[in-house]
Amino acid sequence: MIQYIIRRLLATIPVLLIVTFIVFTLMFMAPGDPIYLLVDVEQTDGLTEVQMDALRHELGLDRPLIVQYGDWLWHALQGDLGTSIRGGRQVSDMLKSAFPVSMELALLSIVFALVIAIPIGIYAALKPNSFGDLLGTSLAIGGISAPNFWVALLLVYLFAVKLSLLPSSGFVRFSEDIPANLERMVLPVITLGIGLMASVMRMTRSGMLEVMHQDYIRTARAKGAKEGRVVFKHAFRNAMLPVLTIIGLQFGALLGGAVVIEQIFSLPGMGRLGLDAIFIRDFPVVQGVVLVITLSYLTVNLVVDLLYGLLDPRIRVS
Amino acid sequence: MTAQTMSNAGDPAPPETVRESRKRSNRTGYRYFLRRLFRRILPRIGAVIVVLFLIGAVFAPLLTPYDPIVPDYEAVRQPPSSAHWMGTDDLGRDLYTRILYGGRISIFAAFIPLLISSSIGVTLGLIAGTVRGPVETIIMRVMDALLSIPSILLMIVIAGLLGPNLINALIAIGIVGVARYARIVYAETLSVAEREYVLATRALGKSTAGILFQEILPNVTAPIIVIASLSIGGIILAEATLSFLGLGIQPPTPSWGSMVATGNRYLQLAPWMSLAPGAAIFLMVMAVNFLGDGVRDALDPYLSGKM
Repeated sequence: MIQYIIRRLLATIPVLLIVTFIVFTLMFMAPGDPIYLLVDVEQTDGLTEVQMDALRHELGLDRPLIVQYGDWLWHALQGDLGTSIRGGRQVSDMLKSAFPVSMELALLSIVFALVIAIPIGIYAALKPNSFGDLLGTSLAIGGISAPNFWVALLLVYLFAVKLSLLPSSGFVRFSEDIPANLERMVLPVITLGIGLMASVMRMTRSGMLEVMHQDYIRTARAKGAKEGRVVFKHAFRNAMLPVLTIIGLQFGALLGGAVVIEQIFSLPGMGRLGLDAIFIRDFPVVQGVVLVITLSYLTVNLVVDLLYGLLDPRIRVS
Repeated sequence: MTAQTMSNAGDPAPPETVRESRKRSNRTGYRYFLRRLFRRILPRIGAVIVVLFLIGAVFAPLLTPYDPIVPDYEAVRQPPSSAHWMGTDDLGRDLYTRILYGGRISIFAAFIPLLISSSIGVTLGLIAGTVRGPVETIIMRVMDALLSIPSILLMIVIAGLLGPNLINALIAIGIVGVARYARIVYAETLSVAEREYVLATRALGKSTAGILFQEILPNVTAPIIVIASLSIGGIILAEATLSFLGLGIQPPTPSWGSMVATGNRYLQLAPWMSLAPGAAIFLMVMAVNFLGDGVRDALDPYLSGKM
């Protein structure tokens, strides 16, 4: 087991190297001279081409791509992700303050999605082709098709503008005031959770449908187990395995969706940090955000794979 | 799989006849496909909605008396009425008109990323699956890495770094889609390449390129079509999202995503400004998803509900 975990952890290293290298190359190729991002305009104003080249040399911008990447990597390995070109803050500090916001948003969205989707999915599987099943399936397809930024606006319009039930924006840290924080998280969480809810609902339905036709379900019924016990004890546990996988795979979509949602609801999370940084070409911040989000995604999927082994004794990893 | 691939597989007849029979079986296979596709209600609904949007986009000038771009300051932010039945925006432009014209971007632009990701992805998958060795490792590792960055994030990074405009947004969406094609084509290529009829044609002295295009490619077309049809909805959504964030099309050209973004600023005063274009995206994507699901079920009943 420990060997397996170590092997999986080692396998993430090349992925992270390639990901950061791709992003680094993109930034290298991006139009515009990076020197203007590092130096004030007044400083470069009136400099001759030769002086500019000297400045570039001083800042290391004339080195080949691979050397500059190696330089970034060397510092990154020591926990130094550079400083933001705007304000000069440490990128790692900015990420540290943004990370919990995005994680809270993602985790609450998962909880929301599961609480809604699993009961509906089970119901739909137990009564296939019923009205409820059709409604559930339509909801699921609708949930996948609705643009999340539009859902966000609909919810804000309904709950904040029309009904004045919830605040539409503003952010309070979880550590400062928990009720106020949760109140402001309701709409973002629902918006972000809808997509996952749709996938979980479909997966629960098809998983349950498949399991309910298995021999061991018939056996359980034959020995006189009550229907509720058959459904929840015998079928449910087995049907939940694919759902677990979906959560892992969809976690990336959640982190991506968070970029948009955080922007709309003005939440100071990683997505918003990254998006703002893209617009002003704050390369160190962009690189840091991509690194942390990718790392979180890979970690969650590793955890899911390990849980899989715990939940299903048949596929204990060797 | 249809009769097409079967006749492809091991037909010993001379070339002309092969081509003839392939043509014929293609036609019947096509009919069979359509019959299976429209057997169920949801793909039919999807097709109707898609066709309506297409007609709206193509014949927009005939379907509305207004101009999508020229402002009309006497009709600013009017609620839906008989003159403007979806209302007007902050510059007095008719929303229904802008949605029709916006469809031109939102629908037709979807084909550019589709072409980019399928052509690059299929090529890379075929190369990795036939050349093998270090080339295979590098290509597939890069694909794995691309798949481990959340796709919206990667699109935002690429589109943002290339510079905010429609073409760059479409390129970004296209690049992000490459890995899915590469992976499935790679897997299919590996399995097809080991089959006996392929080994036999190789033994008969056929070149690697010939085997690739005549034996392997026809066998991977079904999964390629399935991925393509399932991804169009996502592409439309992605373009709308990038435009919403200001990374896609720039004003004044209308696109559904940017219209929602503008409407966002007037949510309290003029909610119809964001509701109407958002509903257009929603309907279009749902319709395309219905169709995509139908295509998948029709091409491969086994995959139903699994992809």
